[in-house]
Amino acid sequence: MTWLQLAGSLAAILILAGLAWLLKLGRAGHEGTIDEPDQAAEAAEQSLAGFRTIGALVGDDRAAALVAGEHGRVAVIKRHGARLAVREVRWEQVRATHEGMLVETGDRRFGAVTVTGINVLDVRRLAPSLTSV
Amino acid sequence: MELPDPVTYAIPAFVLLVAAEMLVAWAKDRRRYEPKDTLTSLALGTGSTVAGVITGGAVFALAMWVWQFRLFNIGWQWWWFVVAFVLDDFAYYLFHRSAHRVRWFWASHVIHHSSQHYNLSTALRQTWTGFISLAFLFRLPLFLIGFPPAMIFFVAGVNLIYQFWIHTEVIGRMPRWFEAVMNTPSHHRVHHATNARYLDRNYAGVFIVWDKLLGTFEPERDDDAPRYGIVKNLGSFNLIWAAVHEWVGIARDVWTAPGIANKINYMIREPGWSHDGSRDTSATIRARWQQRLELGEHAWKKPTSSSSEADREAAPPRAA
Repeated sequence: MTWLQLAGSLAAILILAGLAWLLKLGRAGHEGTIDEPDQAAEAAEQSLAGFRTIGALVGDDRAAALVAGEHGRVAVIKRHGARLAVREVRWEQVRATHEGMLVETGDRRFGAVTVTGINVLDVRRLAPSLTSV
Repeated sequence: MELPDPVTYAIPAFVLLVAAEMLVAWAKDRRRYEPKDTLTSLALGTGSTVAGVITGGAVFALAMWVWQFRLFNIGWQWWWFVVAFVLDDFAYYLFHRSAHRVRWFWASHVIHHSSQHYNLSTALRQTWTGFISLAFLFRLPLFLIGFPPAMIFFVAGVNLIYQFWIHTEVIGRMPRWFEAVMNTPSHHRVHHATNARYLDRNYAGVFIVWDKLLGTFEPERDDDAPRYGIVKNLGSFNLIWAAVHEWVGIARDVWTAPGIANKINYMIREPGWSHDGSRDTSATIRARWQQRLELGEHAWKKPTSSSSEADREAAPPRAA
């Protein structure tokens, strides 16, 4: 590979990524949003082996959701571009903030996820067996 | 004999075809692409090419060193290229199967699977650490048999070019006779999927027959649309993290594992293996899915669920 070929490759990368951006691919509308709890539940069950959903809460911004499962399992779903990304967490990693429920996933690159517009009462209704969140 | 690198000549076609597929996505389903994902995929591909340039000399030197002990003298007639292509494709199948079943090899290969999209830019999402994972070992028997290294590297390049076009959802099914023998977009969608049914299946490069012969074949089903990515998706477009995350995982596990046997197992056992059974492997995922099927349990579905709508992302049905 010559320097010219490398420069050409880098230019091609930027042109193609730019084309995807110009065409609004992956970001024109509801791509990657969580439109309803069933969608979050389905994402959790598809991603986590043996996960059985009890209920799900979707944030006001439709960018994140919390899904409670049987046996005390809990998953957080976040919008990741035009897709959804899922992490199983522990309830100890979920805490209330003024924006909503903050989930510290423990994965720095995945990041912390805020499920906006939901509060502790919503979570207690979702998972009545919880004694503290 | 001096042979060109076919991949270098194919790059302009790769670029044009990615652009064409983007236009199709714009017209049909914009979720098929995501700019940051595309940027990450293409940057990983360029980095892979650079890594290949850096390590290529060493790999070629090793190949020449092994070749001197060859069992047969194989010539440059065109039919030897055909034989080399077929045998190299089988060697690729074996490497690729190992790359999913041995964590050390997986750490290099996982990069290619780490996108949650499936399009032609995904085809270019290649590893930076192939040399570290010792992937080149699988071709050494071919040099020992007697195939000239230049011939093998040439047919390997043709093999890679073939595998570019199968990374798409634009093509549904090829004609039945083609699907029976060749690797196709449908077969390879299965390979990239994380659906329990599809995990660790369809390792083929060019000829799907290896999977059919060796029990690793699974056809794509219209009622089980592929979901792409890895079992634990990254949730990040970070380029460096995509390239090294599994190596970091190996390092952490080896550091904390109790006993030398577990430390070694965290490097050589299948991805997801853990000394305490706390993690999922593809076998445990499949087993739990099978159990749910046998018990007649259904995944979360309600009448009002959006999942009951037709999946716009799904590949088009059989065309011929």
